Amino acid sequence: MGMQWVRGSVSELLGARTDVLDRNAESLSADARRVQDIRTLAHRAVAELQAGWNGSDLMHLTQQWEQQASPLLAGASASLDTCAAQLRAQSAAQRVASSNDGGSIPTTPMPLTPPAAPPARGSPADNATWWRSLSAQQQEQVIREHPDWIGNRDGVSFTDRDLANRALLTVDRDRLVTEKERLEADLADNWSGGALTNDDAALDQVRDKVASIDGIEALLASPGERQLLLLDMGHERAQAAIANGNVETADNVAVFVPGMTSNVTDTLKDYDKEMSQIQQRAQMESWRAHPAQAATTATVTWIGYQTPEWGLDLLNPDRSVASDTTAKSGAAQLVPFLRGIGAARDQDAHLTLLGHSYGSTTAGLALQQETGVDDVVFFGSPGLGTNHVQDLKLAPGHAYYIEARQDPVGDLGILGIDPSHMGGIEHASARESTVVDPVTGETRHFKEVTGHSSYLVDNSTSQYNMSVVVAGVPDRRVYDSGEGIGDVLSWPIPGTY
Amino acid sequence: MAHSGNVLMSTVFRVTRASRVSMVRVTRAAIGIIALVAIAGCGSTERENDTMKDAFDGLMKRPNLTVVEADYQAMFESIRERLTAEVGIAEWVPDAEPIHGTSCGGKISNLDGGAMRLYNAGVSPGNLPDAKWDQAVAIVAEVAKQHGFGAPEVFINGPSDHEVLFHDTYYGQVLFGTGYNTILGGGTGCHLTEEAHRRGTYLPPHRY
Repeated sequence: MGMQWVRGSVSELLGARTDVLDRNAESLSADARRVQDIRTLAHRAVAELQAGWNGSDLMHLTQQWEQQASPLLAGASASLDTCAAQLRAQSAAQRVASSNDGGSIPTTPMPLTPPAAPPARGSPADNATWWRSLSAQQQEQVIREHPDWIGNRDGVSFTDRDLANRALLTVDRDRLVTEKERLEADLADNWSGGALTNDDAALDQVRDKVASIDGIEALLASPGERQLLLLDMGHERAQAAIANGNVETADNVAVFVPGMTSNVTDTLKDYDKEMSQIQQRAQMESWRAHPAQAATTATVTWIGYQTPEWGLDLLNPDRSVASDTTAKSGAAQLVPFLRGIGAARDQDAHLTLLGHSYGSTTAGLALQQETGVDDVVFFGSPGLGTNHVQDLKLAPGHAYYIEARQDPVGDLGILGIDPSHMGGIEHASARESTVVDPVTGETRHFKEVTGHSSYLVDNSTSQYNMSVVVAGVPDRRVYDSGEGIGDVLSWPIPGTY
Repeated sequence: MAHSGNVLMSTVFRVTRASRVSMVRVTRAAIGIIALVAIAGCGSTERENDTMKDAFDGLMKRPNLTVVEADYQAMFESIRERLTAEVGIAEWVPDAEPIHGTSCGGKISNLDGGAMRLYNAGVSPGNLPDAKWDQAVAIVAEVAKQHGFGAPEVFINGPSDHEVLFHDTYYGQVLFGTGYNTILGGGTGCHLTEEAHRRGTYLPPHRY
């Protein structure tokens, strides 16, 4: 009845004096506050009853309150607020129109219902459905008023996640700076220097997170398109994912999972540079190799998990690089992120996963579930979390491995056998080589990288090989088994895997 | 009974085999971690600062990024015009994202004022015929040389499929190739922004 009155009034008030609109808006806002107050009082009353009463009747009453009355009152309050906002918007529009054309009635429809909250534990597909169910105005409202709903919600449009996460950067910075100041004040008054309260460690973490926001903001301010697809300050170290290009529209998308000691503060900028170069190289190769010239590429640096660190973590089975515990935790985050790429897009992308070092273990574990990934390139891997390439949910022949000379990690074979010995995996080179095609006479010359940390060096054989897989032309890669003396030692014992 | 015995033997065998595998893995892990520690060494904030300060001083001797960007744009424009006019390739189609900025990477990723640029300088639809490839490379080399780049380095060379790279003394590069389409791009080395260059003094990363 109340809502019917409001709708009727709104209709009649179109074209009314702006002071009348503003007065009615204020009245509706006051009503909304009163309903909210009633809800609060009732909530306290139920809580008091719970303190001194037990039994099935109380349970029934509590259920009625929580499942029916309370949500109804909350909804009524929100509806009144929405109507008030509509009247204010109408008033503002009318003021503009009056100054332009004498006060004709604007025809832009105003949102009547507030956006529904996202599904509590929705899959990327559920999230995509929810996001698409909202009107454009409701989506804008969520980005403006509830950016935390969607910033890290896999399945939601990446363009909108980017907008939400950029807004959250400011919110997070303010919150962290306040927290830093509080900890600094506490520590200044603490004779133990925080050793007994752990405030000193907490302060270090907060400072590191503020520095990580500096780094992210610097990247986002650089020329060229970037998207902030993930921002999470809820762990010991910051987590983030930054894309070069547009993940929502690019024909080829590559997601890079780095390994041990990777973090937003110290290494994200370096990885971002390398992913920018892979993006450029893949795009160039795509243009040269395809008759269609419009193929576009986006690359993502994904630091969405707490990678293993040096120091005492080495001895902690739950955090050590010699254990797959952290990789499993990372894979649990990576899988929905990858699924979200398919769910958020209108058209399927050619999706490639790049996994380095411990990140290859994380990637290998993730690929044992459905992810939508088409191709994967592992490089410098201590093991893929499996001994059998068939465990990866990929079409045969779409898992590639690169191992450089003098890379001891590539021969460890501690988190699955050394991938150099894995049957069914495709190999690609990291060596210097001049390749001459015997049929066409084509010559290609590539530079070698050695060791564990140079696979992404620009113009190297390994970088070129990754870029052609990302570009969807893997037949152009340079082959090499990657086997050296270390691989003799890492040969798995037959019958043990 | 025989069945139970087989199960028991099988279990014992599995445990033994698992133990052996576990020992092998732990040993490998230990060796690997020691090797990693040896190659990684230990870092410190002071050392990082020294590295970045040295890099800053070195970059002060290079032209600033604004100057370099203008130089690259002029070079690409000249290359595109001459290839179209003299070799007769199709008009260039500009990229949707012609310029992409990055950090200098590696140990100077967080260097205040240090930056690089990547360029997708355009696509000319269609293959540049083999008969005209050498002429086209000579034109690109001539223009690139005027902007400080050296001789072309052949990256890929085959029928209807070519790519060459040119480098300058600042580790910048020009990339020119053809396949189904003809491409032009490249990237600068690491340079200081105009503001950092004008300031002239190294600023350590802000510590909170």
